[in-house]
Amino acid sequence: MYKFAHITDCHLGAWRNPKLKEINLKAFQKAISICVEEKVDFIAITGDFFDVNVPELDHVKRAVDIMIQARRHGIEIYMIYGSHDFTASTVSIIDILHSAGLFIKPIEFEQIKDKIKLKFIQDKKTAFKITGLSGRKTGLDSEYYNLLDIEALESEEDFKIFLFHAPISELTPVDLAHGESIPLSLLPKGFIYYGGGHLHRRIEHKHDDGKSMIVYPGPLFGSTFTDLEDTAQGERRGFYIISYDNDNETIRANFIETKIVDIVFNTINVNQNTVKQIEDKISSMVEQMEDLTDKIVLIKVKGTLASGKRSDINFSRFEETLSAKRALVSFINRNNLVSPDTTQVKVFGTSIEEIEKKVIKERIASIKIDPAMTDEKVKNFIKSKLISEHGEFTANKLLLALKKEKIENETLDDFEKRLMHEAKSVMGLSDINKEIK
Amino acid sequence: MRDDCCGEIIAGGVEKLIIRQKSDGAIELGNLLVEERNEGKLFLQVFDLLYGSQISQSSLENISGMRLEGSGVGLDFVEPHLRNYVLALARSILYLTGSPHNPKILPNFMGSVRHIKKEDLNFLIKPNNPLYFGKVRTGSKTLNADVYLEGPDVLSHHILIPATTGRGKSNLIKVMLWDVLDKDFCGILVLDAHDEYFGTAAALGLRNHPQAANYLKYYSPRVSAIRGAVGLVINLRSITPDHLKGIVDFTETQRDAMYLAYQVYRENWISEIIRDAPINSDVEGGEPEIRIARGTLNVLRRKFNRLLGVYFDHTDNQLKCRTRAFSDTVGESTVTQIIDTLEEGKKVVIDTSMLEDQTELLIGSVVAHEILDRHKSAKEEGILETKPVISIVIEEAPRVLGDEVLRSSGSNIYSDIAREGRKFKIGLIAITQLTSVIPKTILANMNTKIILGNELATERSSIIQSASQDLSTDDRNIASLDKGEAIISSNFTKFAVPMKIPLFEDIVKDMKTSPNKKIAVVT
Repeated sequence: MYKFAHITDCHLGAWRNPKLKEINLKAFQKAISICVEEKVDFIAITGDFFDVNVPELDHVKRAVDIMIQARRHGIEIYMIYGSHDFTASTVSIIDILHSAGLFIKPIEFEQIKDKIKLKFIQDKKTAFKITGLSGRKTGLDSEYYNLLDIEALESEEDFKIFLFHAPISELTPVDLAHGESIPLSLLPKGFIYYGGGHLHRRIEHKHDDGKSMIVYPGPLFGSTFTDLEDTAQGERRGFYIISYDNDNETIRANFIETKIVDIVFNTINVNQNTVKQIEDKISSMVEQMEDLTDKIVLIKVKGTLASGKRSDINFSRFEETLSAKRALVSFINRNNLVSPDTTQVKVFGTSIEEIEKKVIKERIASIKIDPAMTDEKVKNFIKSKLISEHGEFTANKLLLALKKEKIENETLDDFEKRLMHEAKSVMGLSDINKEIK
Repeated sequence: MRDDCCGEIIAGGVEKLIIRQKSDGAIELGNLLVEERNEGKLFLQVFDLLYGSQISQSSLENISGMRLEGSGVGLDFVEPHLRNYVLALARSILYLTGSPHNPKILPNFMGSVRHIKKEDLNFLIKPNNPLYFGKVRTGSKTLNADVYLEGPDVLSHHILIPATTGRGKSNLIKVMLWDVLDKDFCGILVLDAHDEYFGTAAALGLRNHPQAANYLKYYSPRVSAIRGAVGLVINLRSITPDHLKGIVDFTETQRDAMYLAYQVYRENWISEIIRDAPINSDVEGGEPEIRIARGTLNVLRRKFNRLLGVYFDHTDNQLKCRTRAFSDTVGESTVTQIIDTLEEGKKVVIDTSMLEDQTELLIGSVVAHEILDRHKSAKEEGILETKPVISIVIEEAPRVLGDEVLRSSGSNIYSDIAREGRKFKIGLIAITQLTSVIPKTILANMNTKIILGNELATERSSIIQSASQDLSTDDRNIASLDKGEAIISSNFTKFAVPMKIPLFEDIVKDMKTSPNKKIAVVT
């Protein structure tokens, strides 16, 4: 009997709030400690280990310290990139940690003509053959999967594990349906285990008439308030320990919860309410809330204001009250509270990220190439960077690049240069300059 | 006399002009002819051909008799071209004086006509959002002039394709989809009952389009055999009783039972019926009052078994589906993903060849309901203009648009779309062999008809009566259409355009091979 752990979407460093950041790390620490206790043979991490490709160094240090515990117990770690911690243009912290020998990246490949031949890495303890594909930018995943040398992958003998970081169309929950996904038919056949990342939801699926499993463990804690809301509504967070019985050739997935704190979540629906009425509603709810010690408290206010602006509501005083009730962290989500005084909201979403993506999608849809434009090179550049899905990708990446914060001890000049470099890289400005020259 | 003259107008009126054909004029049925005038060009179309002769009928009969009976060896006409000739019956279809408009004048008496040339059609300008149909045809000859119409207008006002088997319906759809595949002004959903549009290793299809990877999504229950296809699996929670309306016959009692089950179990209503859960209206506790007779539930379970292929397997206590097209565990986002894809101006082909007729219609109904709901919301929010027009290709349209089915089962989502879809940028491309069974009110909403050959007089009559242009003299023309020949009659064309639809396989083979794809892989 062999067993390995499957962890994904840790998003270490995701939270600005230091308490949430710490909880996220604690969840990872808990997962690794359980792996050590359970004496797993290896750990597979399927992407988005860090929230960004170059996270704050103190978080990197803490993460490395935790991973070293596993390594000291002889537990090998296999890790692929996710969409958050991967970058094509600069070195990611994953590359540095990999170079330091902290873990193995089972994503080596050979490019033979127009095919990608993935190489297998054989785990020394279990003899399982591991390979995988990292997360890619939106819309590019299918392209990579289409290029795979499937015959080579499927004809490889022995027990095989495929690690990937992409949603699968047929398995994606309805509330996560918007966005790119790959069809199940693009996964190579004949693997005993398909370890997935990217979807922040726990999914177990018996594949190939029950001969194998596709599993998404979901995040250990979560990286957005939507994740936390889902957790509060019953979504369990944790990771999997997968047992494989060689004799019977049976695979069993055991979910291990990594709950660190309780989360309380309430929704307040308003309909054409005044600022005062809404404040009264929130106040009344906050007053009634009890036993909040060391809990995360989330309140979502949604609906329409009769008059005034969202900023007229003094949300911070409620957060202070919750803090006085010893809540560990409190947050009042007002993204879905619509004010008549502001420009009509054309898109709706449950998180800032979702709304940003929708707005970008809508705006990009209206960008067309001027038919009078004759320069083919410029036209091609616009097509490849600024319109349709490519435009959405550029805009989303640019937004992400410009959201980065100044690193401790980084000079303003260096910070500016770093942002500029990332932005230019996202925009491909050096490419167009070369092309046009 | 012009060198290119092929005949002269010698008689007739507005409804019928008589043209004497020049001996080498080679006028064919369906030919487009042009009379050039100082003010512009008058376009005529030939709808019948007959003989004319200067010699009396009795003399002709006599001459023929002498030849046949052996008394007229070497007997021939003096200057036969002058004495015997062909008369073409034609009518004016367009008057071009700068811009094209309906003709309200007669051509010049004894005016000469010539065959149409490509240059005469320069007024056919490619629209901003072109939807391609084929090339202009004159008789049996094809002109190198493309027939394009403004896609969003045509698609949102519905297209009807009436034709009998073997006249090139599938080829036409493939040609249209091929050309529009990478154009994002429209999303097109194809319910492919014969799995003939996507293509296979042996047969060319839409998957051979250079942009197929980016613009085409293919759903099939046979997914394991087709790499890149998405599994056609719809979660039972995506289906509501409304989706079944007009698609499957239910008694009033059964309908009430379904709505009650939906009220009690919400999106799990089908699973619960199949699992044989008790259904009552008192969900908040107390003594449950069973509202649905056991017999009704049994009938519903049997109907769902037949329609969806779902049943409860007591050996492992799981709900299963024979066709794998429905599930209570996976496929939650299939419908949303299909609609998202369509709203990105892409094309979706659903292989329904393994499914029953009604199951195919149900899947279309679920998607169509959601599209209509989404577009209605978009209209309310004032953002409908940012959405592409969505069109649904449905074969054997009388299954849902036929007079009989509408009378017996009431309206359904397809008939709703036929009536009000254009307000919400949703259209149908309805294919049928039997136009006559579709109610006139629906036919009147189908503002573009692509008429292929049809040997059935009653069907031709229905098509002619519902056409956007006066085709009252075109019965013979329609009857004589060969495979791949068509007439497009539309509110968006100035005249009923005869056209030749290119062979799909030729288009694919002519396609320039795209430059080698560069791949860059980063570890």
